[in-house]
Amino acid sequence: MSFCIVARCARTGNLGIGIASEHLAGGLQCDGAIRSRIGATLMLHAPTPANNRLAMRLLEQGYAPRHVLSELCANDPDHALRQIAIIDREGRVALYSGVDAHPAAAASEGEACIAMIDSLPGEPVVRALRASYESGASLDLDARILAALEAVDSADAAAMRSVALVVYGAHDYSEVDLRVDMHEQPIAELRRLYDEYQPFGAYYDERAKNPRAALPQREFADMLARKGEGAA
Amino acid sequence: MTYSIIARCPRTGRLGVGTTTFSIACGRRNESVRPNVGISKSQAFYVRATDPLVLNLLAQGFSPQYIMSKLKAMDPDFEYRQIGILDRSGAVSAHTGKDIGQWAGHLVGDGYVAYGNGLAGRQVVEGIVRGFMAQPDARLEHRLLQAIEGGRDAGGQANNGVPRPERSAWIRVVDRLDYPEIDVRVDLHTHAVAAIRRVLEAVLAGR
Repeated sequence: MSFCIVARCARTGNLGIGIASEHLAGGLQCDGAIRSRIGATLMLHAPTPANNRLAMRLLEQGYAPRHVLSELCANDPDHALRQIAIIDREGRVALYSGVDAHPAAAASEGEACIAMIDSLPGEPVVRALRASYESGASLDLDARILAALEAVDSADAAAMRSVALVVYGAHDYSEVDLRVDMHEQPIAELRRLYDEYQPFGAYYDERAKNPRAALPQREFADMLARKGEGAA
Repeated sequence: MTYSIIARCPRTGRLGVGTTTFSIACGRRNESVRPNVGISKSQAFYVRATDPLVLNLLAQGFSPQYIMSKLKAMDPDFEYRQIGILDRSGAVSAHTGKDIGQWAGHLVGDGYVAYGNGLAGRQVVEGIVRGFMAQPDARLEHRLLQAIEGGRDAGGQANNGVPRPERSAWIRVVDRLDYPEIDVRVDLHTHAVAAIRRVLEAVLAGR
């Protein structure tokens, strides 16, 4: 079982995905699934890894998400098994749930966002994802997607073993790409990881630009630890 | 503080990276590996845009050595960077800047670069190579794992003689297809190298 949210931030145009899975390393399904300033896609239920890049190339050629969806289905004899979400840089969405997907599979599209789950517990998970995401407009996209994953009832998320949070902005590399590949409580672990990572992201950017003035990472980390102790 | 290996499997032509570091989520750097083109993995005071640029230049047909000379010419802070470049034929180029601080260095061989910074010493990159060469007929993902384990077992990361933990690790292997065959990550852990062995073995076992 896997569930996900695929979204575009209306303020920044950033594109992001959050996915939780009972499979190991489910975050690998995000590989190639976002292209900066082009779009994002995700497939659940027997995903075919080649489809992510195919979908991004078709969007890049200028096709609308709905047409890309029809091309992906036409290209895939087993498309009736799949669930596919596509969102483009304008926030247009396209959503497909094949007739042979799991009977409890559910999907829902909102304003520049799609929530999906490929089997039980189905609908309640999608509702929780969407409700949280839509109430989080003041958050940055990464925090908003993480909060949506956290909003899924813990009983519904109990079987999860892996999770990923990926956001692309203006660059051809990710702004955020965090993964938990094998863990008993991957969403809680992602939160720990996310909170730990926050101060470092800006530090790495600054260090790259101005290495001569940069604090060595060990000193930066020690400084953060001292601050943490001071606050506790 | 990071140590890595980038390598081409001489039997299959598959390309892969194995890396571990104090920093969180080193596996976020997936832009560093491009199937049928090569691998560029910059570290130390790295600039995120460097690896995609190098791979674009490799794709145009430039050699790793020539691209490294371009980077040197265009980057006023080149001596703060450490970079390994590998093309799909197995040709390599490596650079370790002299201003990185602490012990930093690299070893290049036929189809691989073993390199790191903030290390206990030269024995660490020698340990990476020893691990990589331990079973030359094994699958590339295993060789990459053994390489970073070899680096860890030779002393790993240290600062003024004080060991620093490996907190994240990453192994990614690509073949001819444009998505990875293997991509496993440990983003934040007290013993990331030991943890990534468990993840890799579990993923390969299909658990």
